[in-house]
Amino acid sequence: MSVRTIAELRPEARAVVESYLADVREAVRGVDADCAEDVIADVSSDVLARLTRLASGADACAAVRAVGDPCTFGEAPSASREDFGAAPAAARGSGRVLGMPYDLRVPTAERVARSWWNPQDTRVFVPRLFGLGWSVNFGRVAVLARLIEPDAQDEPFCSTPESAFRAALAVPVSIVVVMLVSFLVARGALGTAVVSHWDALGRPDETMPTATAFGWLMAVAALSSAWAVRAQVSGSSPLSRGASAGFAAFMSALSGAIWTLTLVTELTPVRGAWLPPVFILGGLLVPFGVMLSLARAGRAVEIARDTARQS
Amino acid sequence: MREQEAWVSQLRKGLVEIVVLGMLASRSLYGQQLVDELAARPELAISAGTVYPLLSRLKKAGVIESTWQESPVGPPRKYYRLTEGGREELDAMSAAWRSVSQGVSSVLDEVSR
Repeated sequence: MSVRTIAELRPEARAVVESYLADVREAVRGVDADCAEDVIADVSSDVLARLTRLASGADACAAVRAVGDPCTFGEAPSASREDFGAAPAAARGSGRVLGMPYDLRVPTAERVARSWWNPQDTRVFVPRLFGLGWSVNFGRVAVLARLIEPDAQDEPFCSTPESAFRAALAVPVSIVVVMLVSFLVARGALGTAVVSHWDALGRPDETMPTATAFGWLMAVAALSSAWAVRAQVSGSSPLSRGASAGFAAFMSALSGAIWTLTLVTELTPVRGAWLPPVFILGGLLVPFGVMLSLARAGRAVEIARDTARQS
Repeated sequence: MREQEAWVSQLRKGLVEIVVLGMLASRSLYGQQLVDELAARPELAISAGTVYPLLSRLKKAGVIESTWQESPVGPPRKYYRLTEGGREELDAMSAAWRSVSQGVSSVLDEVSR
């Protein structure tokens, strides 16, 4: 039997639900008062509907997880608000300065997914996950390129099969391995310091000790890959797994692109203003490809399931 | 003027759900089809950015369901239709809307007399 009020829950379940609703309230603080109360009322009834009178703390955790990340209640209705003429909402730690969006909240896998892979959001440029400015909503780019439908999956990566997640994970891990091998092979040909920065015309203008330059890039690639591996093996939600794979692909591809640019600058006579942008843009294509592959794999599973039922 | 626009916006906002459920009452529609048909009703001012998240939410609530179907032209499409519960929900919403609308009309009729 469903619970009608929080007071009917066991104390440990009540604590979980109250803490979750406090987080939701925090997330929707910036929304106008009426809308915020509506959201909280909806979320409360949704959580309670998922619980029974005898709910344990674990049941309550499962119920609030199923309802979603509290942060999303402050972000998700942005398109609706724009349609209906209201000002965009801002959760604590995020907002605008001089017209530019900023976000100082610690990024979570869910927020990575909602920011980088959100085909249902009509914006290509969305507020950056962390820091000042905008980042690309790869999901919208895929929709505009007609590579996927906005509603191909109700929740990003929810139908994506295990094999696709494993393949996606192979991308950042492979980049880490290739970077390591290339360092070991080229180490003898590189000096004690290598180029670590290029000016706007693509000319090298700063150097760094070789081991330090490589160490930083390797740390970024390896740590993000390790985070993605952890999400895969710890049974995280499909949303978290897809987001962490996309994030690891982005970080490792960017590190790999910078390392490759370093090698090209140090070991070949090739120069040009076009070099850094080409490598950076090439690096952006990797997370796009990874997240698109995951989404399309999930879409294929849903299509196969539904068409099999019909035949 | 600005306040009036905000009021109209709020009014539309409250009606999005009944409009979408109403459109799915008589036949199944795929996402883009729904967006296109809504675009043909500019007075409702409902865009794709509102429709798709709403469809996800309605599906999660069990009010609508979706199924992929092969298309004779182009890729497969995801069609949405009302569930039994969705039909009951729409009936209840329609009754409430008619009652509210009737009440408002009677007040406005008295004003214009």
